Amino acid sequence: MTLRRSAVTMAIPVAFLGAMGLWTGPAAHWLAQGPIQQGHAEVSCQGCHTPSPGTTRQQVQARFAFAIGRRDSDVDFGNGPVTSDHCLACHARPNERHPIYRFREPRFEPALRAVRADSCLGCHSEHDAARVSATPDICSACHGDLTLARDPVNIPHDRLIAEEKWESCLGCHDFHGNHVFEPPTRVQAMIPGAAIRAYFHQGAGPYGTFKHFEAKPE
Amino acid sequence: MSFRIIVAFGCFTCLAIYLVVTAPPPLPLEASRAGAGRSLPVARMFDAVNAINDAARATYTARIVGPGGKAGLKFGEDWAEPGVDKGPLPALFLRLTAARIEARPPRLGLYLGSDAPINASNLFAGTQATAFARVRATKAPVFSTSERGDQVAMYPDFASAAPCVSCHNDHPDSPRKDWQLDAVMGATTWTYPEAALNADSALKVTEAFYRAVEEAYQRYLDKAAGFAVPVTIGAAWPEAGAPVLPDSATFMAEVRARAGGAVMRALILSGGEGGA
Repeated sequence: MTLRRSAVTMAIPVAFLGAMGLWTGPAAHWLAQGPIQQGHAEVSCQGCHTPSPGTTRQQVQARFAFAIGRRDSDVDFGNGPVTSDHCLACHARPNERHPIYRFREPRFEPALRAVRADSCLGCHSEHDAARVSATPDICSACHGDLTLARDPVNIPHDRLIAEEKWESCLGCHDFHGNHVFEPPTRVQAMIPGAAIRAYFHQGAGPYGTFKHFEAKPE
Repeated sequence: MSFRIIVAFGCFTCLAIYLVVTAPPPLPLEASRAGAGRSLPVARMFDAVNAINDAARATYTARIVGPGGKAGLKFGEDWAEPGVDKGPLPALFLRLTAARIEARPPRLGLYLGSDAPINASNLFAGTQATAFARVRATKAPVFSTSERGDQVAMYPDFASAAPCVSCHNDHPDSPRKDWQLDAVMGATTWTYPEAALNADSALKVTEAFYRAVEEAYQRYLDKAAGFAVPVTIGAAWPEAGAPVLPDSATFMAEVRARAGGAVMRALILSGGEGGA
């Protein structure tokens, strides 16, 4: 047997074992596209990545059939796409201030061009070391004409909006409304923009540690 | 025969055996999984779920909020907050139902709005404001397609019970104080991604909406069970001096009785014709 033939003969089982190794738990973390959020440290890969219907062979068959025009629809190989449903399985709450389904109403279509608020993934992407991937001025997409009949703040909301101080919104208001947090009535007492931006990037929570509802365990 | 050809032939043979000779049954198509059957215009399904929604809101408003308020039960915008012993206002009951239907596989959307809402976030804008002008003028549903391709239906929302009128006229944030019984106070907007669906899917969506109503009501019962002064939950409806609540089965039996005829007309007797 030549050296070349021996190398090929050895390479086949090594490649096979290597491919099998990719299906193991430790390899899944190694293959992940990036770090997961702090709050998801205890969540398994399967908490968000749901296996597609069928066996691997059936998925290979279906994709092959779709590629050669023998099937009308494609299938997901391995896992299906991560959707808001995966998020809501743990994070759905009755006191949600901005439920995503509301943004599927037709009148929000212009706002969705600015921020995909009809999906959790519009602001929260995983594997990129950020709690929030949107910018702190997202409120401008919907609240440009906000006026309050009885404005409790020392600088009225409509003036803050006229001056386009959109980063101030999250300085007083927790977007999802789940923290036990009383909005200040003086703009000078609001949470600084730097603290909000740090929170977006895995920093400490500026709205306190107490929540009305904790996320359900996986 | 060279070694290279032998390896290539072996690989091809293995692949052929893997994909063809010992192949498992192919994965069913989505359409096959959904089931076949008569095609129904989405307007008929909208008619059915809107009838259920009307029945649920009428039952909740006229038999829970109205008499319950007189019996000592409280209802408010802050009902979901911990430590608040209240139930959802009718508009929030609809929103709760809408949230429950969104959590289910049929991607049915339900929204309540008006041109004079108590909460400014429910003010119609854009194409919905235009459609609502037609709904108010004709008191009939208006069907359209959204920018992103969803099928949209808008149905008039009538002041069907005295508490609708009194609460909206008395609320400090209400921009209108002259509502009267049977007035078009707003509209319910429905969205669905497909223009037609088969009978199985229509029934599935309808049943999912009944279930969403039940889950919304159960949320209220769960909250009421934890009130500082416990509320008796059973077969009875609230009335003067009796701050009780019907259980989920009793409430849903009433909703199904009210909606059943309209649902049957929409899904079965309409003959699969186009929308209104």
